[in-house]
Amino acid sequence: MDPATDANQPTRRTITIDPVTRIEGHAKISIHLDAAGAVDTARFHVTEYRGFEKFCEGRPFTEMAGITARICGICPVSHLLAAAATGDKILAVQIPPAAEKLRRLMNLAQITQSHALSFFHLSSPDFLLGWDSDPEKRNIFGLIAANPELARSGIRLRQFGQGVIEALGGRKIHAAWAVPGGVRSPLSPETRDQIRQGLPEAFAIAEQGLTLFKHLLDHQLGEELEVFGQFPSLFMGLVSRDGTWEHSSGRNCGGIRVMASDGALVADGLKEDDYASFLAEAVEPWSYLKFPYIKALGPEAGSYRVGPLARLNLCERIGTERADRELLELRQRGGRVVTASFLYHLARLIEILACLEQMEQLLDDPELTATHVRARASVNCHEAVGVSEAPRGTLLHHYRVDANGLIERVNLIIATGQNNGAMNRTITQIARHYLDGQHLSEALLNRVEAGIRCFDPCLSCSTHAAGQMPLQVQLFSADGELLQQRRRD
Amino acid sequence: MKRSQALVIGIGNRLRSDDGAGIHVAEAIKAQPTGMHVVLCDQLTPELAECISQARAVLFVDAQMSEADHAPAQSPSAAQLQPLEALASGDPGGHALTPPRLLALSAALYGPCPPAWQLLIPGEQWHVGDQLSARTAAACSNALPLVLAWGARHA
Repeated sequence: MDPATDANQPTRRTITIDPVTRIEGHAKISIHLDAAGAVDTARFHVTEYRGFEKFCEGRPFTEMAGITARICGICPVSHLLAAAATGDKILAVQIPPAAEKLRRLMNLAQITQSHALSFFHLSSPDFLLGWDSDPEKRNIFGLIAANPELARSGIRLRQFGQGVIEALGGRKIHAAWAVPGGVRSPLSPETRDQIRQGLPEAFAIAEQGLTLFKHLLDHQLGEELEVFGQFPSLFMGLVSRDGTWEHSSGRNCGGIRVMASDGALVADGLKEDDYASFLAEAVEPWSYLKFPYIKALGPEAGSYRVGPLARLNLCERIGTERADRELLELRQRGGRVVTASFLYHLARLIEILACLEQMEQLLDDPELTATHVRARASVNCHEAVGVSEAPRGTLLHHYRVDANGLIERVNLIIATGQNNGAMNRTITQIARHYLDGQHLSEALLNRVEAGIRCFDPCLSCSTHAAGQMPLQVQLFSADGELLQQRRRD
Repeated sequence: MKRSQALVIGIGNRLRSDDGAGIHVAEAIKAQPTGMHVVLCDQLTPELAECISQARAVLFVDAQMSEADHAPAQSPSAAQLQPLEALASGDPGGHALTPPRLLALSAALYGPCPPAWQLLIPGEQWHVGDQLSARTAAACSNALPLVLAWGARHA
């Protein structure tokens, strides 16, 4: 980074930040000061728009899994599964048990590979290289220089998850495998055994990540716990019928749960079909990313968080031995309901462990290799809502179709959007803590970025937008004057 | 893949017309008994770094915008092998992994990476569709002997 400063106008400086920051999509952050020069608010602006909901209109609903998977190259499986679940309801079929288990297996692999990318490659350079290290080196290459084994492990773990997705769907990315009524192809015993062979190494890497991150939390990341998005809020996500950790809508799904920071259940057993009755979306003129909230509580009190931390807060237990041990430790560290957004990182690692354990259980299930994997029917319902837990949180697809199954209306409620309010609160908290006068310091910028990365936002999904993630940070005075700007392209 | 095989990586989206040119070429190579290891992908991902590190030589085959966006329009026969060098600057996280950065990632993780080339196929249509334009289809046909000759040199 090479700040370019106009010495004659010390309060009007333009500073360029390079290189690209490590989240997906295009965004801008503005920090607004009050009359006394203190931080009033900070805003996370998402400045791109792609319009998937509109151009899906007129397409057959059977194509929706394939089309919406193209929203993102990181988490296409999430859209694939949510679209297939919505299609099941349009057909009004109950999918074969083997298909449901195979979809679960693919979602577990998807969560594993996405969380591995987030922790090992996108976020660990911050933890391991330090907030004040050279941003040119605070990336995967810097991580390789500092800890090559960790970098290789991250790639291996992601490779394992991607390999499972490819083994099931034929492709690592955009596998057109889940379809309305089930899946296109069963799992052979040989492929099942190949997947099983990769588990021991994956477990070892997950444990390695947990050990490392817990050590860092204990020894050098205490302040981050208090400043990076530590606030009470609601949490929302799926749970199973018996209250255990859930990621898919299937026979065991108990619906959507909403919990307050004090552990009180705000709502439970909510059906995705009724989402419009309990969710609403606020719109701000400065961002394409909407602000969903619990309708009955309004935009402020109804703001909620989704994703790995929410899922761990909502469940009574995970239901597997190793992950439950880690969940207990997480709650000892952060309370029954963990409100520190920085612990999203730890929650991701625990979820990786949970995914691997559940995969191990599924692979031992003889029903997994059954060959009846698809129920067939024609259009029996004209409107349906499907839900799935994406790595970043609850994902809802809502379609209305005509008599021929052609899409008339689409609404997609994306995980990153549901964390929008929390991301804005997080960067406001960080800016208030670290802003030194009217100067956008390197330390502040790095931490603001890292605050956003706690949520691992996928702006490609949430605005249905494509591409990289240039970041622009602007500092405004109380009267709206741009005091300083820094940019990474 | 076997160690010391020549590696061909075809990149592209088959559902965006000429963007699938790299995939078409790679599939055609894969269908022949060339001894080359062929990988097809929508986009480059970090996992390919290990595969690259084990190869004798690497060839990336991709479509190239040839209208106003980038270079001047090229004739179908203009697809050429270009040597590539690793580029370790910038952050390779997320979606934006290019062949030079992937080579750098491979070198950083697994040691010196093999010599690499790219073969860019001129494209002209990028809309939704699974057919190549006539011009790009011809360019793909012209590219096949180049890839086969490259593979023979690195067998």
